[in-house]
Amino acid sequence: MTVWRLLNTPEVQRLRRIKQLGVSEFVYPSATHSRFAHSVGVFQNARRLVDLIGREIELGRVAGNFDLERARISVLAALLHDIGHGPFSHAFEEARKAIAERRGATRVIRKHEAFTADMIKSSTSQIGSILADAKVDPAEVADLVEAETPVDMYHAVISSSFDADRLDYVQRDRYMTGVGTGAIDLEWLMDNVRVAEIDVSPAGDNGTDAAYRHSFCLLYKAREAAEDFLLARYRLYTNVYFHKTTRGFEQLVSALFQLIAESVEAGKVLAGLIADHPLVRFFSTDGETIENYKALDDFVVWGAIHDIGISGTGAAQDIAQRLLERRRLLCLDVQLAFSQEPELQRRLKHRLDETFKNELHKTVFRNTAKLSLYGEIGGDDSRAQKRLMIQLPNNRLKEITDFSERAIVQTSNERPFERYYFLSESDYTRAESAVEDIRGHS
Amino acid sequence: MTIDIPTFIDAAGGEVAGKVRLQKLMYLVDQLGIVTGFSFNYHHYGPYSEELAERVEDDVVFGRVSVEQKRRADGVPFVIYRPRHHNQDDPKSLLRTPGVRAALSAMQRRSATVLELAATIHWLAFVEEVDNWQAELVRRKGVKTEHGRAEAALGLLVEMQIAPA
Repeated sequence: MTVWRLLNTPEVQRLRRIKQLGVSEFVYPSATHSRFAHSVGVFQNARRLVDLIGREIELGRVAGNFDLERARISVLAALLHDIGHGPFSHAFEEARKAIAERRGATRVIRKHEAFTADMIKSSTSQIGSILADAKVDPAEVADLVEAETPVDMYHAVISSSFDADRLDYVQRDRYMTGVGTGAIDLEWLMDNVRVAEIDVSPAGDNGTDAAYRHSFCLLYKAREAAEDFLLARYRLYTNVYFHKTTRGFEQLVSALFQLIAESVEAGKVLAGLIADHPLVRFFSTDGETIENYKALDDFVVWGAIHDIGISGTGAAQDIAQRLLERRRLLCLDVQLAFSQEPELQRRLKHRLDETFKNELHKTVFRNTAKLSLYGEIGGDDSRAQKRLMIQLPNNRLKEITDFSERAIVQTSNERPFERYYFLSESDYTRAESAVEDIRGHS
Repeated sequence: MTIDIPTFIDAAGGEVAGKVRLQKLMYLVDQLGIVTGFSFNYHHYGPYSEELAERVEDDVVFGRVSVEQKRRADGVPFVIYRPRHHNQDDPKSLLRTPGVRAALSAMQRRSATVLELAATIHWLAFVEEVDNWQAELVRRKGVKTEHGRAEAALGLLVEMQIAPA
């Protein structure tokens, strides 16, 4: 009953209007699934993982008693984990980051996890009272969503190498995009998941200051299926999430958000938008409130794109029309220009940064990302709880790439994805000249 | 202008084990008043500079810094950074001052987790200006603050004279 009530809240229903993969449908036409469908899938996976924890405790493979309260919290957190996503999640966060930097903010922007936590705890949402009716403390659900360091095995359901979130998107995104790579053997993996104490400290100390927490690992006999699981996720990044056309359209959406914010800063309203438009409210000074955030979804933004495309002016109208008509930006892919030549790639990157320093973020856009076997690197290193550990027959744990018969390798250098996007043919030609020049001097 | 990475690694004893350690060393040295030229944001392991990561990658690709791939006992991989050549750094470099050398030496004796906690304490207290940074540290870092590690991190900041009141 609690779950049905939560599903029917405006915060969860809003996820029907936010696409899981943003503008990926410009590349994969059927990738139109919503974060609502994903959230229901994550909830279902969380139930299975919680049952699995119960099984491990019952079989005596994990000490202690099954904590029904914690289990309920983790399942509810799984259902609610994405309610704080904004429209066009990635592009929106990129734009907010750029806007905050321009406005001189010293702190990092609040990420979707923080908005999720706030929405769960908000006195103005129904979620808090529904959880309270079920005798669940909303703060505990919010804490589990936001926790950046592993807490316990119930937290592993939400964030670990084998969490409910990735178990859903690895399958759902593959199915909905139609990409052929990346099948996983879910039932075999589920059969062979175990709970063990895992060292979640940074790796550089060689285990001299270990910090252990219970999390999921996989038995040795499922090692190959575990490799497939990691590789499936890796391929989704290379083929779908980092697709150069998708990333290009994200640049356009992000640029449009920034133009709207700039006009608000100048005390104006971008032509095509009404003065009280949700985007105008959100980008106003102190406008990043939960209420303003909740008023935004993909539909609202597409409405704005449509209106700006018809009634707007200048750069904003051009970008809006490009989005409406799927007119791609010209793209120079640094890794493609100098495949297997990292030194020339770095030279090209520096040259383009210097050549287009006045155009960057206006008519020339740069998109960079780094990828490791464990996913996108957004900081020092992969998150410790995302390392996939294999349990050997003697119960010792070993990281999945540390087997002599391995098919996958963990390298020290993450794979870079660096693309420059151009609105004008002339700028693109200048960029191509830079490639030729560097090639000529190599 | 940013600090020279090979010189920095030299000053830190000739090698730095792990990306997290390198980032936290740089952040904490920055707090000593050494202008490293890097700007930091908060990430999963605490204060982190994307510019520093980029600079290190440049130095690795252009052969100024070497990377050795290692694994800890449970197979989790990490890297060790070393300068390719012994650097004759600027004699006026602040990295050569005894105070900074002593601070780097003190930091290198601590674990990466303690450095992560020390940098995070500093960030919470002085950048985010969180009044009850102690509680926030436990909330964000959980198990890592146990077994005396939070106290060790604060002790390091006291030793470096950059601890919050």
